[in-house]
Amino acid sequence: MAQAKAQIRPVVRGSRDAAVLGESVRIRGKISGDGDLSILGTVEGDVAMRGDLTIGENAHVESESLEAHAVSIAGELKGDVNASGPVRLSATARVHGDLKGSEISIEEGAQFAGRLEADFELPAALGKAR
Amino acid sequence: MASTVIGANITIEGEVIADEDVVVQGTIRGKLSAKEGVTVESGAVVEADVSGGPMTVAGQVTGNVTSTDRVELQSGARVVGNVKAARITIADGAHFKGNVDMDV
Amino acid sequence: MATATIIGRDTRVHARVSGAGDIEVQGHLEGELTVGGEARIESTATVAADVRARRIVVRGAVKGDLSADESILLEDGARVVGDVRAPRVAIAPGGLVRGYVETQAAGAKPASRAVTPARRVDGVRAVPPAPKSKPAVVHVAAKHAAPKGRGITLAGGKAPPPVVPVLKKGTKAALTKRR
Repeated sequence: MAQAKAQIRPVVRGSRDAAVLGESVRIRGKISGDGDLSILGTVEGDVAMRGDLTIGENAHVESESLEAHAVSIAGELKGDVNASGPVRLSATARVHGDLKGSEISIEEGAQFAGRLEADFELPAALGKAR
Repeated sequence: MASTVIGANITIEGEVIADEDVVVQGTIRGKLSAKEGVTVESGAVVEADVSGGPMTVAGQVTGNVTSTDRVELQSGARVVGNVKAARITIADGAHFKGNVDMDV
Repeated sequence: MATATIIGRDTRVHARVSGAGDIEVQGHLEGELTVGGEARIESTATVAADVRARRIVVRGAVKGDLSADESILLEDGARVVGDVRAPRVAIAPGGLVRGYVETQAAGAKPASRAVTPARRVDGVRAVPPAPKSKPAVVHVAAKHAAPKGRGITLAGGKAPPPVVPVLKKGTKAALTKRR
């Protein structure tokens, strides 16, 4: 991978526009903003976006905490996701961490290890079981 | 329509309670209670008390059989246990050991 | 063709269910479910059991751990409280899970325990636990008094009636031999 120096400062203040961190971009630090963010390169650090977050197929993200609305992941992520909207892992995703969101979906083929905490009630027939 | 089917390669150890028809081709150990018909097919092994509606047995049953309707032991059936039903048919070639109670 | 096993929607099974074939659960299953083929938990099903199979497809409710040698598919409508482990795991939008989910190569540790030591399988429905403590006044006496009106008595009481009919001598051998 190209070792191009990141030209984006560690703290990215986004507008409503989508920000894209390209494949050759490496960032270490916290990223936050109001808009959408696509990570195609490498990020080490926390991400907090008001909008949607996309982690591209060749992206590597390592993070204590990822917060966004909708989150779609096609690349590699180590860290927990806390989404206010849906979280989607596509077949190429490699994710190690816990996922929280309004809805979690995982495509067959994705590699994943972590906890899912969907909020729902089991039918009464199972309430007393065990 | 037969709603519950215990296939030939399946073993159930415990209790089965059905408000519908049950067809047994595999093995049940424990207890089988059905509201509707029970069919124990040839090759099936039932080591359980069986109760239900109309029953047809062509396989093995070890246990007491109670029907609210009729019990038919077909040729090849092996039943060890007491049978209680309004009507009982035991075909030629069926093996049966136990008491019959038709006083329902 | 392997015979299909179906637990119908108006059927309740409290048992350990095992075998080589496929199974489709539309009703209630409590206990343990281990099959060599595919286990389908349909939308009307309520399953309180650990489920092991080659493939597992869930559209209904499960309380228990799922582990498959090949894949687990949680479809829309699936509600699972328990851990989910298979080399391939897919969760469709609308499939809900509360638990640890892990995709892993086949042959990794949990799959090898296909045959588990018999876990408690209460043949008949679980007997409610005997009251632990009555009001403390007579606790010594209460401990030894046989509880009234329960199917199973504590030490000192009579043995509970057998769940499985007692086999006459020789019949069991005859049965097993014929299989």
